[in-house]
Amino acid sequence: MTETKYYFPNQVINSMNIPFTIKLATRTNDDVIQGILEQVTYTIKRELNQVDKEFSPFRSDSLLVKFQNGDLDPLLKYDSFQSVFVQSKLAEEMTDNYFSAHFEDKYDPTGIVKGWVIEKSFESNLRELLDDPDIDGVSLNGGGDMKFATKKNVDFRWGIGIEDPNDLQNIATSFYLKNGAVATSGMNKRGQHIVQNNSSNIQQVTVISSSLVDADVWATAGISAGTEQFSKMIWNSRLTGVLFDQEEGQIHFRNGVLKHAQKTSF
Amino acid sequence: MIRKIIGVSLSFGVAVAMAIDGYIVFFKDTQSTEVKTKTTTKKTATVKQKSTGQYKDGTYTGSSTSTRWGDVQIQITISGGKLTKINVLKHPDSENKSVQINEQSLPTYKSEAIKAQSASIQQISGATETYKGFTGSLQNALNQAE
Repeated sequence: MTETKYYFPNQVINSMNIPFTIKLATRTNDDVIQGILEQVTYTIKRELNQVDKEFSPFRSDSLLVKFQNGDLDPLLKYDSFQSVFVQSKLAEEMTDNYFSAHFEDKYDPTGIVKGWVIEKSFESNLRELLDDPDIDGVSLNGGGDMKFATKKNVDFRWGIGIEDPNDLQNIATSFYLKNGAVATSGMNKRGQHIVQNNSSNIQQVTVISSSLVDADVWATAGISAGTEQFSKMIWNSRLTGVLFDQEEGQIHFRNGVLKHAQKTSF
Repeated sequence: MIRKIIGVSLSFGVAVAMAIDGYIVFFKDTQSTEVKTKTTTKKTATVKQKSTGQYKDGTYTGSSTSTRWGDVQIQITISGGKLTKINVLKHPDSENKSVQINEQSLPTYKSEAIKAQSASIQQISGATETYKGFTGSLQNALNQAE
């Protein structure tokens, strides 16, 4: 068995002040691959900018700001706005309001929008590239939250390092995954308005799921709920991922079951 | 050689697409298409008010939106000229799915503590990344090592 050598051609897009990395895992890295990458980057960039135009809290003509100012048209007439609104409402329900799409009494679905647009762009542009015989993996990573897939019947997995909350230049743990989504929340993640009503020492939560919106919602809810309360949610909703607590250290959970990592040294 | 030709023609294709899209983006102002809400026509408010955002008292239902929980609809109630209620109407079979979204097709994984520069890592999930701080980030370093 010879091991396949992989290339990871990628492009970075700046939209909504978030770095979006489009990355492929390929068996060759020639002009054809570069052409495909350029084309898909161009389309995704356009989609991201369109969503920014509709959901930016900083543009007075965005659907979001119109809605915040009492205009109901976005809610009743725009597909994208409805979809985001419904998802944020269900996210609040699903997490007993530990996740909130409101900030200072205003509707502000920034976290949902990011997960939703990554998911949408990924499905309509990147997944189909796996049909190319030279492309074994596709991924879209927006500021540390990502959606990815790999070709069936190949061994390739995406190697995903989880940032160490105590040392941002270090990886604390890593996962090797074929398909799905990973989101990480911390006390300071931008665009998330986390109100922490607990005395917990929770520092960072990573959730792995098939849906990026769900992963992001649960990770955010985890920070807001604190280690103890979130542990119950992990069990009740059979979550998978890893959390960091100042006292307890690194705690992995899989399908709802908690597992304290033994103190690894390296 | 053939791949080369395809590559060149592809880049040309991209250039053409960019030109066309540029035209659309800058000259046509593509807002997302308004959905035709069949239900809102039921109660079309006579447009006495100046603002388009004003609706008369009553209940309005948006068109059906498909989510991963199934199809849902938004229903709003306006009374006394004010928005008093927003409901999400779920279709009967969508309720169960919301609880278990996480478990289906969960990928198998192994986890290990390894050094940041390991060749086996291509992605970073973290809590702090903004475009401003991207240059010094681990993700950027990994991207360079394509």
